[in-house]
Amino acid sequence: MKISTSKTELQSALQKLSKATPVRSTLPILNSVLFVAENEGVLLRTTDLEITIIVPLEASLEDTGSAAVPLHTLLEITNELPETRITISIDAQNRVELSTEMGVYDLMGKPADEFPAIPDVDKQKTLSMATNVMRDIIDNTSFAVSKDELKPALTGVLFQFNEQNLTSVATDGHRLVRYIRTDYQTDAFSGDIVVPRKFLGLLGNFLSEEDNIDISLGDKHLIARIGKNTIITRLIDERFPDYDTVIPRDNEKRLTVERETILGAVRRVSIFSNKSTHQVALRIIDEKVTITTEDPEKASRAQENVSASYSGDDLVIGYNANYLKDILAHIKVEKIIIDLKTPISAGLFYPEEQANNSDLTMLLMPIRLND
Amino acid sequence: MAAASYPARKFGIHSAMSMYQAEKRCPELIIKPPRFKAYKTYSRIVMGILRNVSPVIQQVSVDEAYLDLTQQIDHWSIAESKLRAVQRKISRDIGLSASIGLGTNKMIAKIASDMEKPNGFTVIPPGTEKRFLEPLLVSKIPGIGPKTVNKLAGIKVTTVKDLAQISEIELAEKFGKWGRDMYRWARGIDDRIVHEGHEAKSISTERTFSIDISEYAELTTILQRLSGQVSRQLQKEGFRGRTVSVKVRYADFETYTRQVSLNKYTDLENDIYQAAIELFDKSWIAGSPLRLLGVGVSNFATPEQQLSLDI
Repeated sequence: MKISTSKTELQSALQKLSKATPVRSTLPILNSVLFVAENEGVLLRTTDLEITIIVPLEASLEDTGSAAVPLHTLLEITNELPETRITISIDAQNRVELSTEMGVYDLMGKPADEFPAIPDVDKQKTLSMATNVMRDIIDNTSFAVSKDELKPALTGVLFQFNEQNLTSVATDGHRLVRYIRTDYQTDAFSGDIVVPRKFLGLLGNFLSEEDNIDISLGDKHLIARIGKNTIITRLIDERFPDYDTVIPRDNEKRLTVERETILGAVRRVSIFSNKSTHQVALRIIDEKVTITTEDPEKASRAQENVSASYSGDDLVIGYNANYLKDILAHIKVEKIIIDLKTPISAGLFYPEEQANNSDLTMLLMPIRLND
Repeated sequence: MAAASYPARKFGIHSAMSMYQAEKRCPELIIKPPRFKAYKTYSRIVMGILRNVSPVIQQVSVDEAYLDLTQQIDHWSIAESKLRAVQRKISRDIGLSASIGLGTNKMIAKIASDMEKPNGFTVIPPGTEKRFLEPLLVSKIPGIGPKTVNKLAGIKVTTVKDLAQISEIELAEKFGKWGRDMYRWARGIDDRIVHEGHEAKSISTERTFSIDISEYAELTTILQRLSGQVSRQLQKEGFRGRTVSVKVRYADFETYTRQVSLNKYTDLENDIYQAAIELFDKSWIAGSPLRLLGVGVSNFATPEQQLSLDI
């Protein structure tokens, strides 16, 4: 195999591809990028066995062939090179030679057939989605996805496709986000899929380039095509819990507050909270929210008052400040409504005015305060 | 045989007996397999009823618990009426009988609850402990098992009254530290506190003096030191409690434990010491020599807990 390309082209491709290579792996081959040079073009591929990324490389082709090349070494040298042409030659023994006007660099590759194959995706259903819809879903939900590998279903975002709308849900058991897009309908597929968080994070990096993404759904995989790039992910093969039953319908204490104001207050007060619990308390009386925290260990405390409109009995409720900040930061509107019931039940957070074609609802469970 | 009903017991059937033996004694015996799940459910209901009477509860098995009513009542007779109500409620709500013993400490209450079964109700008013205990066989005292009973029989001790006549030194020589405990049990003294659960629900420390101390200044210095030790232990284990207790033992082994609830949870030396000194001032007959001083903190805060969605 012999191809030549520019530093920028190679660097940009490798940066995208490096996102799929695992941090640690028992399979050394996964630390490589697979080069496949054919007459139709040059494709580069990485995988962690869950996710596969395929990116084309703009290159002039001198000789076809394929081999797996250590990704990190290749990326490092590419980063250190000035803008220049790079010629990559790989011989039959998988010896890789990079030659540039600065010098020549040799390293050892591996045979292409040792690299994992692209997963077989059968019974594909194809649908198309505007990138901004996907981006909004990712922005609104993925922060709430669980990192707990013991609950696999919660480590992804639930997508519920039907003919009326698209509902996306994420939860880690303490907070939950439900984001509905009424401007997205498809008749190609109706049903639920759970998409891994890592894939959605990765997809975000590819979205800026195109207006549309094409999605193919198999039984176990999802293929996203964004322009010339392809990302394949395994879907989470677990039933997502019935989220609808935990969304409260009878939270009658309503707090309406300016988002920036309360977010700023929580950010400042939480600096003084206990570093393991991050606990803050909201005391809501009349038209005022008093946010307090106390850390007996460090003898620190803080208090701020925020004015708000409130209807309901006085209430004192505790939250993990990190969760609260996350929620407040992700409802990007001027005023938010918080519907509450008791100090130990889920609070409902949503924009005072929902954006066109969408419905955003967030739930947060409190911390039980003990005094 | 894991357990026997009261009617079955009348035939001489008891737990740990072989099925064969049991059927021999009572051919009409109805034998049922255990239903642990049901027992647990009922146990939880009963414990819930008890928890409504006092938050200071120590469940020791599926069907046994100690309740500390010190904070709930200001007169003895109120304890009695509250517990009668508990017994009625258990019977009415789930149709189970419960035997209740009311006493000034855990040992007395336990022995009292065993006096009459099923559905017993035995009250040992303060000051009558000695009279109550004296005629009982030593085996009635929890902690004195068959082996000890035999050993005691060897020194002609069969009743609690007999036991109370043996000197502490003699008991200590024969049974070690345990002998000292028996000496106190025979007098109806038991200063174990009622604490929740099986894991540490109280942290305490005490000091026995090599020479009895009667100086106020010296005793309060020790109290301060003990408060500091308890505070450090609380902080180390990450607990904060709101009940502080002080234990004093006089030269004649009379032992008293007093406790007070604070208006907040604490793990700070000064909070504990302030409460301890107040309790000590109330407990100590000024000038009387003390043999032991102890400080404890209990009634821990349930850790502030991030709640979860029910999914």
